[in-house]
Amino acid sequence: MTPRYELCGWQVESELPLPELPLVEEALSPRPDLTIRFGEVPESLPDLSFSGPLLQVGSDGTSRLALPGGLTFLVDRAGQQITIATKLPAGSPAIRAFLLGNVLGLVCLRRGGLPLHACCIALPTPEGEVAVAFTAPSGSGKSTLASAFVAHGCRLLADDLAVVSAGAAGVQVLPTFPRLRLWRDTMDIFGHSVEGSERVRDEMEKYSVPMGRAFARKPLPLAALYHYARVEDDRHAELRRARGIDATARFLDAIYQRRALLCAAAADQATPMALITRTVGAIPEHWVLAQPNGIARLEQLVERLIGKYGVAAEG
Amino acid sequence: MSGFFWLASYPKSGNTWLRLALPALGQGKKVDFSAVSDFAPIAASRVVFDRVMAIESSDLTPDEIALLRPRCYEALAELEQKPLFRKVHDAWGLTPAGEPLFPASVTLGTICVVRDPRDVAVSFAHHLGHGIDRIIAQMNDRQFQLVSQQTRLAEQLPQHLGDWSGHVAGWLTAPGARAPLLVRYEDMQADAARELRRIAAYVGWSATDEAIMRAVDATRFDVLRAAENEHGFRERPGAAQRFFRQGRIGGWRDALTAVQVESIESAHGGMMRRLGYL
Repeated sequence: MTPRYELCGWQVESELPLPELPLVEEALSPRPDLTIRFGEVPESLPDLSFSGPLLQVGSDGTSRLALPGGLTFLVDRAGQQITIATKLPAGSPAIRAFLLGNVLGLVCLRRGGLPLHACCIALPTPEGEVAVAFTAPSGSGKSTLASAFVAHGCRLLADDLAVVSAGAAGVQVLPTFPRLRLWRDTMDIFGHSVEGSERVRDEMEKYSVPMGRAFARKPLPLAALYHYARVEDDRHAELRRARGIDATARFLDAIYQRRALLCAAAADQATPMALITRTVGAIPEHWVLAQPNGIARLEQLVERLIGKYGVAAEG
Repeated sequence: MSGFFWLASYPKSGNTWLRLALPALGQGKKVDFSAVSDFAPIAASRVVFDRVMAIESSDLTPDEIALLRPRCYEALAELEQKPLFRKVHDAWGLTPAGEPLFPASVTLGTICVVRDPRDVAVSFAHHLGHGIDRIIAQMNDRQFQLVSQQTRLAEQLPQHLGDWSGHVAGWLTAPGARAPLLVRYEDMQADAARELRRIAAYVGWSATDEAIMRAVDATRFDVLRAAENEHGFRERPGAAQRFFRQGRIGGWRDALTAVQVESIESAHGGMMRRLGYL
């Protein structure tokens, strides 16, 4: 029997073993939400609405992502099936690195969620846990920031790709998967041993660190979205609310692989702009945060935010 | 369909001055350090690569990134109508597949900015907060990586810099629609107006004498220093006290030992003579 995993709150059946993901405790329906299998992927898609060097999106929303080294993914129009064509061994970490990154972003949009390029942590408040997300470009320290929160006893919802879903209950963040993907320098800062840690790619000193109990497995309401940047000069430090058009423009920028993925979303659905403006309006706080570089300053930030949103976590 | 003008240089050779002077010339823009300068962003931008390629380069190996960079520049050129200006510190070279990292087919031209390597060594040491001996060793190292992606993720893509002579030699013969234009830092200081006129003609801009003088006045070293005092400069690395430090020509005479001078001159004498530095 194909194992069933949890990913973003969906039940996933996968021919590819996914040790990163928790196994479901109980199958909710005979059909999984998402199926991952090995198979043939066409050389190209007909009738393209987006055509990049690696990604193609068909006018019906079907997407094809081809990576160097012979690894190709196909995501069906409904975001219910991922097909993987590769000669790499099934245990190769490269397959999961792209599956749980770029390919997951495509699936989210096809399923009506908005993937943000953000880390997200759960903060305890007197009224229960809330989610706080930090969006930033790659290389700006999202995973380092998430590690600092985890080191302070907070639970993780997302490391690099946070999935938000706007509904009657407001904007919720879905728990992505219980791993932090950390480069060697961040592993060292937070005292994670690289011995026995799995590499995200065989050739790179980037490791997949299991979160265990430090993962929030249920969706949580998003209390605030921070647009995070690191600066070298204290004069460029900034913390201010973003509102209106500014908040919307920044949110658009924060959508994971926005340029390509919005093509995928718009291919056959109602315009995603309606979903985006509704989501922006329903997020209680948008902030611009330019943070001075350095681990001591980062610690101060984490303590300040934990204090701002609620009560100090235990442990 | 468009293409690129590469503002190519070894670090600390005057590239940033050019990136401030050219928009002051072309668009009449004031130099404003309170805002982020957006003219000629770095060619090795991770954000741009990820957006154009629709991939997370943080999941790619340095070789895979190098393989894909020509596709990124082709796709960017395809999207644009106007010439694109990009700052480059990468050495001109070939990808693991054996093709140029910067494709000739989308190269409109190359402005190759050079500076006396003895002054570069002093400036680079202050910039990185390293000792001068370490910098000289880097300038002599054909394998030197300016930015790597081995144990940490940087905001920029991995960049192979190589040794100083090889860097200059590579860019001086970069293939494209126009033969590369050589611009010496020392000439920019001696007669900035003349050098800006040469550059404007090379990139096809008509520049009045008034526009040239405005750009020269806006980017005098003392003006840039004062602007940095006032606002800070967003491209200053954490280890450097300031970005616009002295901008002196021949400052190496007071800063380098005889042994250090000898080390640079013996490694790079050929190229230094070719450029008029020896």
